[in-house]
Amino acid sequence: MNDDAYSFNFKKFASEVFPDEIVVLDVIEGTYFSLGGAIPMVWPALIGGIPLLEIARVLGQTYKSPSDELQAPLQALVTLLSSEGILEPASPAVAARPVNLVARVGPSFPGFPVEKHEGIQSLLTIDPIRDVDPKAGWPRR
Amino acid sequence: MFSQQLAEMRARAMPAATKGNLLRSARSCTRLESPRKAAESSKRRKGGEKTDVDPAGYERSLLPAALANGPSERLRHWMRWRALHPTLDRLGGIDFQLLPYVFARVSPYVEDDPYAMVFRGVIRRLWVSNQLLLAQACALQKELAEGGVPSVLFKGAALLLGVYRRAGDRAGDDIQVLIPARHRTKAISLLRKRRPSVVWSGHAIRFEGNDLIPADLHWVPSQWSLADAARRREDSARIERVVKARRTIETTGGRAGVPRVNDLALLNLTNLFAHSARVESDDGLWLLDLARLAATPGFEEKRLVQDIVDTDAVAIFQHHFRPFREVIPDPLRSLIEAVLDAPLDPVAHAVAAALAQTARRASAKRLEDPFRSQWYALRGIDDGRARLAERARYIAFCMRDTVGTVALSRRPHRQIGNLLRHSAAKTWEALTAQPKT
Repeated sequence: MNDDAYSFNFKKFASEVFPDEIVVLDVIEGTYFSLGGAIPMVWPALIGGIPLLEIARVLGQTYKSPSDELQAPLQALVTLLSSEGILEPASPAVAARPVNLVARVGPSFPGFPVEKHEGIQSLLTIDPIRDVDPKAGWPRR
Repeated sequence: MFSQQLAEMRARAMPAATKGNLLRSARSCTRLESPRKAAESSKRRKGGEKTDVDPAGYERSLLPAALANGPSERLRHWMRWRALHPTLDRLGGIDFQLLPYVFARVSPYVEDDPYAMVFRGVIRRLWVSNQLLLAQACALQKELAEGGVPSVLFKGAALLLGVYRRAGDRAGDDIQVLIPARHRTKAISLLRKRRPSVVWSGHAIRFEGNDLIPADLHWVPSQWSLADAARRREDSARIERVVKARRTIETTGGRAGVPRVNDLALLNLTNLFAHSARVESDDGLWLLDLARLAATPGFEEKRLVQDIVDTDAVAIFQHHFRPFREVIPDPLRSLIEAVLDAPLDPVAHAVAAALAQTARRASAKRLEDPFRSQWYALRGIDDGRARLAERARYIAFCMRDTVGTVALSRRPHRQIGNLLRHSAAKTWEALTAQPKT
């Protein structure tokens, strides 16, 4: 894992913090991402230019795990989000603020689950009350 | 673990999207599944109750929860509303409209609600459709600006950007853009490039096509100024000022120009109240819009009241505000009181009463709303020295000059009655759009 830092690509993507997840939308292509697990906790740091090593270190403290074990999934997440264009390399100067991970923390590391839905047209035609999984809500049927 | 999750994610991934998918998506979100339309189709399917926002309907709707002061009052109204709708089978249009806004604010206290995840999904879906709307609105304004046409968004998109600030808070159906009248030819040419289907909707030009979200082009805040050259000049000058004073807001996909908060309040309500069909389809959402506008930094209550007076809109505002005087909580109540206390031309008041009387004879339905289609008639009242009869004649001739031949009788109230009967047959919008020769 390197010491790179990242920022959010606001030109193409919109994001919103919902309870337990971050929703990201590509407003050009119409691709919908749901970022769950521990992602909402690291999200402000991740798009705020905090170096990955620092995020992994604080995450390790939070879950009382060696940061080395968290570096691989964090790096995989960043690789995935960068390949989608959601994250962009940030200036190192941005990465000078302290990391503050604020979220509901469970007993074990929940991972960085990412759902990707393409073809938003079909998703928007789903009745958000009657045609969805009542335990998950739109867009999950 | 992560690689397994990633593999699962990839397995769930759907076929690749194209730009065409997005455009159709954006269109579908307004055409197929907007909360309002979902509510309407639900009512048709299930014969559900109608929650028109008269004061009685207000109490049964989610509006009290939306307008509540503080979390405990909001939660109390929410619980009462949930007790009325335990299964969500019979929701009115206004409840669909307000559900995302209210639930976002009570959700920390009602996590055990069996529909909590469904409600969160409703918010997510609205957020997505509104993001697509805003991206297209920015693109449209950019095209206009590159063609030398200054513009502002108003109604839903402008409220989302400048007032609500969260795209999941309020439904925005289509794009409403306002330009100075002198740019309209150029603007029409520019907008037709991407939305080639052009429809005169009675109050604006609607551009559609290429699976884009429909866009309405306005250059007068409402159609009544078409009936009066002096009024038209005054409104044009006002719009020039509104567009010039616009503020720019950065959002995903670009920049948007929106009116200052007071201008936005006046534009939105003037445009809404000028057409009763729009008031009905709005279901009372304007009350929350107004409350949010009034709470936005920079809003000046006295200035809005003065603008309402200056645009001769006191009677129509009072008509729509009055039913809510007793039920709306502060601080919105103080604004409503201020408008209800605004000076109303006594002659306009007298003619409004005459309109109501003749309306009563012409049609029982008109009694419910004397301004249903007759608002333009009041526009001609500007001579304080004339008697009511003369003014009534002036109104009739004004309408004849601008919208075509109107049958007149010798008695003023009959003249008004004839106007009403014409409006009942064709509506003023239709008369104005297709003048007789």
